[in-house]
Amino acid sequence: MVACGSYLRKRIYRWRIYNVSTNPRCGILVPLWLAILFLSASCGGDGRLERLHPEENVLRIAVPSDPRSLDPAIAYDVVTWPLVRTLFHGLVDYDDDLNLVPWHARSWTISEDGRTITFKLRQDIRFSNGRPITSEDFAYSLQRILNPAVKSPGQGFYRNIAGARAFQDGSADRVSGLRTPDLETLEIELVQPDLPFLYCIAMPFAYAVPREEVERHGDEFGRYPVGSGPFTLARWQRGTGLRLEKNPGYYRADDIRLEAIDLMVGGDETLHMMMFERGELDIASVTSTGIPDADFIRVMNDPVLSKRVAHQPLNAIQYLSMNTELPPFDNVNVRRAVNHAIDRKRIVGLISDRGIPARGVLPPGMPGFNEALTGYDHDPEKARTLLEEAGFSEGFTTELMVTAQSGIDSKIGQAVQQDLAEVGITVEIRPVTGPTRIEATGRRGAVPFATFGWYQDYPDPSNFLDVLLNGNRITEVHSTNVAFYDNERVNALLNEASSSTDQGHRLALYQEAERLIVDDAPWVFLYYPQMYLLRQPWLKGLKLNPVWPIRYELMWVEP
Amino acid sequence: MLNRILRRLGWAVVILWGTTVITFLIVHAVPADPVRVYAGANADAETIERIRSEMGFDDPLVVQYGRYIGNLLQGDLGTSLVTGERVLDAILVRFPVTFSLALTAVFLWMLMSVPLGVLTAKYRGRAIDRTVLIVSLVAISLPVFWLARMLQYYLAYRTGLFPVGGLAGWTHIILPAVTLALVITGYYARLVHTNMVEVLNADYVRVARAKGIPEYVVLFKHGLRNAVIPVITILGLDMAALMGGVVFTENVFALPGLGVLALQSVFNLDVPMIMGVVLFSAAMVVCANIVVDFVYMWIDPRVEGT
Repeated sequence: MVACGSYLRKRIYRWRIYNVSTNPRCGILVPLWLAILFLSASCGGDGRLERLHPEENVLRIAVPSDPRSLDPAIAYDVVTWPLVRTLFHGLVDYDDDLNLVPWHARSWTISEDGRTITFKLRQDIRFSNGRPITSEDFAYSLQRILNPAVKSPGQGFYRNIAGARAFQDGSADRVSGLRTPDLETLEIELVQPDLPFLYCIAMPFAYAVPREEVERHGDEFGRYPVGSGPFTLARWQRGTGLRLEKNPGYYRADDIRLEAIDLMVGGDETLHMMMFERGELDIASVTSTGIPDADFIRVMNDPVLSKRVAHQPLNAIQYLSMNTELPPFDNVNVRRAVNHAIDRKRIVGLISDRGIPARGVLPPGMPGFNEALTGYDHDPEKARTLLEEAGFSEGFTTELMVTAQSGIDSKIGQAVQQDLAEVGITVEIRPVTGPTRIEATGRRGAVPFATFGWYQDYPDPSNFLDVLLNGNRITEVHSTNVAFYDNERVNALLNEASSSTDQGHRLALYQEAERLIVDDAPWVFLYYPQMYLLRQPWLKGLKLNPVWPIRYELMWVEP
Repeated sequence: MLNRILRRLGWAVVILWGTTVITFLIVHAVPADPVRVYAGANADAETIERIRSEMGFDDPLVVQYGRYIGNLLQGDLGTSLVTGERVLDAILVRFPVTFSLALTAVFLWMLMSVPLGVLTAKYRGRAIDRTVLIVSLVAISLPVFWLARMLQYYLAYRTGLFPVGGLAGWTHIILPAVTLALVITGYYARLVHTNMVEVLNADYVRVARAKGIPEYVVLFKHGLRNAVIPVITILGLDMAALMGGVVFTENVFALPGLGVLALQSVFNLDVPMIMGVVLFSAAMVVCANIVVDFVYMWIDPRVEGT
């Protein structure tokens, strides 16, 4: 006891000598520092996602950043849509052959004139708060998309509903074309006949939301979503992760085999790949590219990993847009020459064959895809002849705008640069950020030549041809027709097809329009991308389709 | 003293106001449209214009800036265009992560650099000095994101010693903090070294040695205490540089901190969030400088009068 006391005194004495007594101010700093350090470290991290120790039947995935919102009226990207689909549901859905099938709607009829769609609804489905869903909920949800205060990016898809414009301009307090004669009937009246409108109804924007919950949470509804899907949101910690748990009240709860979905937020695809290989994730990457670029060849050559790869051609196209209003691209022979000069097979090779060389606008999975379209083969000789005919025998110099962060864009850019140099065209590559590229290319007369990708909103040719190539769609700013391509014959065909109610006739019109478009070559049609997913052997039920590449609700984890 | 505090605080307000002006102008000078980013590439022109007017982006810049400052004075930093979160909440939720990361890194690098600095000053010109110098130079030259990826690959992915990423406990902070510390230690070791060499040549050190005081007391009491004063000043200024390093490390290791928030808001052109993060970081740097200023006065009473 005595010895111990004297030892302590000695220690304290020494400590005083070297620290406290000689330097009282500095002496406190160290313990203070440690205390702050300890406190901040203990209150800081609050991940609480059990990643290292998998729970039974819980799917573990990761995305680079938070979903912006789980509100179906707001969410609009390929990563968030599959999540929205687990929380909400809609009137109609797709089967694996891309046919529309009943979901909440038992059946639907379209009137003779094609302007009124009448849905008969099921009565046995409830929101997760327990309230039964009626036709009024669907009418409310559709009207909500059009409400300017909601700022829905999808409002354009529903402006064909009668009275939508008056409602948006504030001259009507409701959308007159949305009617609910009784609780199981929903009537939608359109301004003009519109067959693809049913696809818009199948988009997540139109999924049912409960009015009382929306009003309770206001702008924060996307943070605290309440729906009627197979899962409910258990928690969402911004920047860290979110967890969806099985909704026991779901009308087909017995079909759902997953107990929960753990979604980690943060990190890039390289980190996710490492976590996948350490067994901490069940799917390597759920973004549109699937397996990261840097790992793709290794994975495909790996005897074990390559067996766990699933792939799906997407209804999407990668293209170069040539501004048909700006010289030299206002000359059709120049555009054809560029198409002949570029070697699509080589570009597809550069992206490790994750695409199908394109011969036209519509991808193979799209209704109306034209097998007979020949497109442009790689023929530099012919390209040089065409350039001579166009008066550019000496070639010319142009600038290709690409997205700076995109690895694929820089590969395409370099390949295009080399191919066009062969025929005397000098291409300078101009990398800009994604938002700058979108802004600049949508402005009339601003950008001659740029890379683009388009991913379908719904599987109908109008979503490609009408949106991207109809001359009537050209606007001074924010044009989606970035080639500013305006061919009267094509416009007439596209307009006729939009309002036609005969699907066979429509597809024939679209094919004719596509043939003219390919001939006019406003784009360099590059390739149709494919998605590659890498999964763990214990993950089952991965069924890909071009509209819904990822459907979490069909998956389960086998122990 | 009070006068001095008030003057510092006054300048802090001016600096922060300047930050809002510059950030606001830069964010609006970017040739890209935040509404377009929000609405997505597939949205048509009418949708974009309707959303723009709903967000108030069609008002003149002066009006928008006035509105921003007005809200700011009431403590409202606005709401994220992309996630709808309140900007201040988003920052406050992520700040503890960044703060623990930065503090752990500072702790680690001081722990390494002070002994190294003292040791190399004591044995100036010997083998250990040379070795530390070369290693320091290499470490200073390493890009943070590369070093982060390498440590992640070898110490986490390959060996499993640390978690590869994410945040589920304090062990997830270690590797990112080590990354930051390694890059900066070299620099601080040289700083301590240089100051130490200077101090050890001073008269009072010679007197202390002449009095027969043990060498380690001379080194740590007479030497280090004086040598460390300029280091603390630099440390305050380095808080700004540290924020830059934090952006890379947080992103590589998927830590939900301010660095990730900053990067994502820039990619999304989330104007209120960018403004908020920049302003908050500026406030942090200003605060760190004020704190350092006072710590400095505290350690070295000679400063107080000036």
